[in-house]
Amino acid sequence: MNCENVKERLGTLLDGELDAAEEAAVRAHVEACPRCAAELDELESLNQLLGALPAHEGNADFAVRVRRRAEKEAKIVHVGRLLSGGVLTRAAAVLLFAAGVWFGLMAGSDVARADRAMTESGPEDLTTDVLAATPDGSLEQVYLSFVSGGEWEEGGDVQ
Amino acid sequence: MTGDQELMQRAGDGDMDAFEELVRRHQQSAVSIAYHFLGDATQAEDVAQEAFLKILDAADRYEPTAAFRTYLHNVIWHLCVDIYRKKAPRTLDGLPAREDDRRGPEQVALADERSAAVEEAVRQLPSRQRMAVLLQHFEGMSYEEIAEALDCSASAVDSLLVRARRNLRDRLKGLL
Repeated sequence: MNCENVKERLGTLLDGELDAAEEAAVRAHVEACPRCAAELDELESLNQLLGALPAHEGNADFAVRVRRRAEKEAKIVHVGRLLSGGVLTRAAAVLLFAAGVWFGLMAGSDVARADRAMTESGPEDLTTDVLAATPDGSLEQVYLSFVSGGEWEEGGDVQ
Repeated sequence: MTGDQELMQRAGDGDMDAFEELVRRHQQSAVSIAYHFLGDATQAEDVAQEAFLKILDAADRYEPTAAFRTYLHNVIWHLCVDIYRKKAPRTLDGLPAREDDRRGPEQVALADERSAAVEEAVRQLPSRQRMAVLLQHFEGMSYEEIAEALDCSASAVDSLLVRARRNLRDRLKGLL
């Protein structure tokens, strides 16, 4: 081994990361070479300086604060999940569905009433009672107009 | 004493006492390394805190393929690099005073001057060299462990440390 190779390996020697054969070769060279021995001393001094760097604990209540923040964030995530895809969303979907069914049934009962009236007395005899119960321009009016053969006009009168 | 792996498992199951114990065990090395990397005590605590929270978040998916501290320092490394890329390196002006110091004023002044010079020299290293030096000196990690923390090979760590020492010796000539 020459000095250049050895100098590259001195730090690794101090770190205890050389394999046994390489360590023996480097040490043998250092014992015989004052320049490389001086270099090794310098690296040992550097390690001592680095070893004297002060440690920092952080605040005394660091662990407690981290825990509190974790618990707080866990709650926020829990509420967020409820809002974004959980129980509340499912509840809203059920309510919407129920409302849809209810409106559908209500509209259906009005139309059925009109159907019954027509079946019993024919479109000509469609009473103004049924028409009076339907709001102007509503789908029910359009439907009644259709089943009465287009004789009914807006305004609720049958001609 | 309960091992880190077991504490991690318990934390993953929602045991916050286990999580707090894990934080207590590793907070000094987490804060110290982030501090010496970033040069800012407040940011260092923020990074350490963020690292522990990320670890807790992933605790139920944690697989102990490496030592817990290696995993922790890998998270810290990524957080530090993110911050470091966003800011210019700071000077030592804002460093906190050392507490509970029983040395004489002259010794304190001399030691603080040396310590400040070493801290500054470390902080001037390129980020990967700096983290390799810090992990080795604060954690006593092997090249293999440093490699896992920095997502590189052990031979790359060897070369990082050779270059780091060369840089440090150039900057600290007067102190060696």
